[in-house]
Amino acid sequence: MNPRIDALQTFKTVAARVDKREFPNVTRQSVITELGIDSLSMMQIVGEMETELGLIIPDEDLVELVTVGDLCSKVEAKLPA
Amino acid sequence: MSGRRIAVTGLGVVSPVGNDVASFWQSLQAGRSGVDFITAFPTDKLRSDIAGTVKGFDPGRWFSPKETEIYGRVTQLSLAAAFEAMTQAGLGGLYRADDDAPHPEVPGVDRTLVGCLMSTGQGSVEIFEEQIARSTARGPRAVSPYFIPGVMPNAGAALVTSRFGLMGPSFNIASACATGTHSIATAAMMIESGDADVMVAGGAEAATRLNTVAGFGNARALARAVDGDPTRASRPFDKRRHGFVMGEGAGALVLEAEDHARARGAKILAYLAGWGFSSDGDHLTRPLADGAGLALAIQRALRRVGGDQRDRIAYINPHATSTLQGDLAEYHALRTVFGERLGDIPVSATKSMTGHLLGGAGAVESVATVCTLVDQIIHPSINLDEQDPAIELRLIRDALYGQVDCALKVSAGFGGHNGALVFER
Repeated sequence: MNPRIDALQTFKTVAARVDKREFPNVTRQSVITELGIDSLSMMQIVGEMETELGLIIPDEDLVELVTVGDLCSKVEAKLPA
Repeated sequence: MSGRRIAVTGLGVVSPVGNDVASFWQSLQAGRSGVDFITAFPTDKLRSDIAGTVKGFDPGRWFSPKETEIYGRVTQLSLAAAFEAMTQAGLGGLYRADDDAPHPEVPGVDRTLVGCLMSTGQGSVEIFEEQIARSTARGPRAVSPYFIPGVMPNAGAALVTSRFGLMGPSFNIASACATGTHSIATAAMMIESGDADVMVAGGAEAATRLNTVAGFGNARALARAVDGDPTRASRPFDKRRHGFVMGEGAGALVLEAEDHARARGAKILAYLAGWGFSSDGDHLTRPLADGAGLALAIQRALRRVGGDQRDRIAYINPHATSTLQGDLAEYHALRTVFGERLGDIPVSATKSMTGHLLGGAGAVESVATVCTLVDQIIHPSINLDEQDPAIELRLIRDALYGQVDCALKVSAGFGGHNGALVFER
């Protein structure tokens, strides 16, 4: 895990930019659908995080994303050490 | 003529000369141009630097910031025009602002038999430009998942049906500059066949972008300011005409089976009595010089009304692109149909003030034509400093008050697609 990159903070920044609204109270336990983020917006957030951090999350890793923490874990696993 | 008479019960417009029907119609009567210099992007390397632009449209009235990004401008203008038309028709109660709320109902209206043909010829050009630029700069992973639903030409019809809960027929017709006219005609056919009771139909375009102005300009199709004045550039049938002016906007008509409109007490503004389609079958962009294709569409529209309707036409709203070839071909088409009587029929070109709204043109001009029937006023054609002597039309230079019971709207598009509508009161 790369300590210089805070995946949760990156998610919040990217989600706010993509969905044009703030996500102040998001934690790793937050359920993505309960944040009002639909599947297309989620893919937009994933794409933005990928290009911003310079990594690729394989499609099979995107199947079971329920919480924000699920996504953060996938991102952290792909970050260079 | 079949059993179901097609009534017009609602009108809606967003245009370079007004963002609702009342202000649009007032501007047209006053002969006010909506053409100005382009300021949205640099024009120094382009062949034309003017356009008819919609001013003061507020997406925030309709969309969240996120939705404003998803839906292209053409889609946004489509919704606004459709909303005005639906509201006038007494169907505004169907509108649902919150996507998660249940669809409201309006008494006497079966939502499963209300449809939408709000079309565009080009779709959301700016989304194409933006996403291609993103992909080029940051790679394909950066392309928005909303790219396709945003850019698809049927986004307008999709948005209108979802906001109003319409479950009748809906799709997009793309026939370049005949798009709006073809959509209105096809909507009437859906009602005539019983596939729908009500259709909100028309067209929209908001394609004035660097690359489209370059494309039309490099085809030498665009006009430039005349003596430094952009409002004088769109000059249909004038001797100094030299191309069209790109415009943006949307027009919508609510068409409804007459029996349905009467049963729910809707006010009938006019009737769509006839419609005709044809093709030039000849060339990608150049119209047939003798207007034979366009004449066919007009003849078919008149025939559909029943009997010989030529003597009843008391106003013609022409296509009037303001190109050298287009205006001449249209004159020949009208001459073929109406013969010597053509010189008696008042003609005025909405495009002389709005510029060319492309996929929206036929719809916005149909709104003007219905307004003529309602108010018995013919709007002027402007920039007729010297009428082309080869074009013997009775062009109206100042608003004309007089009896108009039956009017013709004509459209022709790149690709040789022709359409004609006959409205009556």
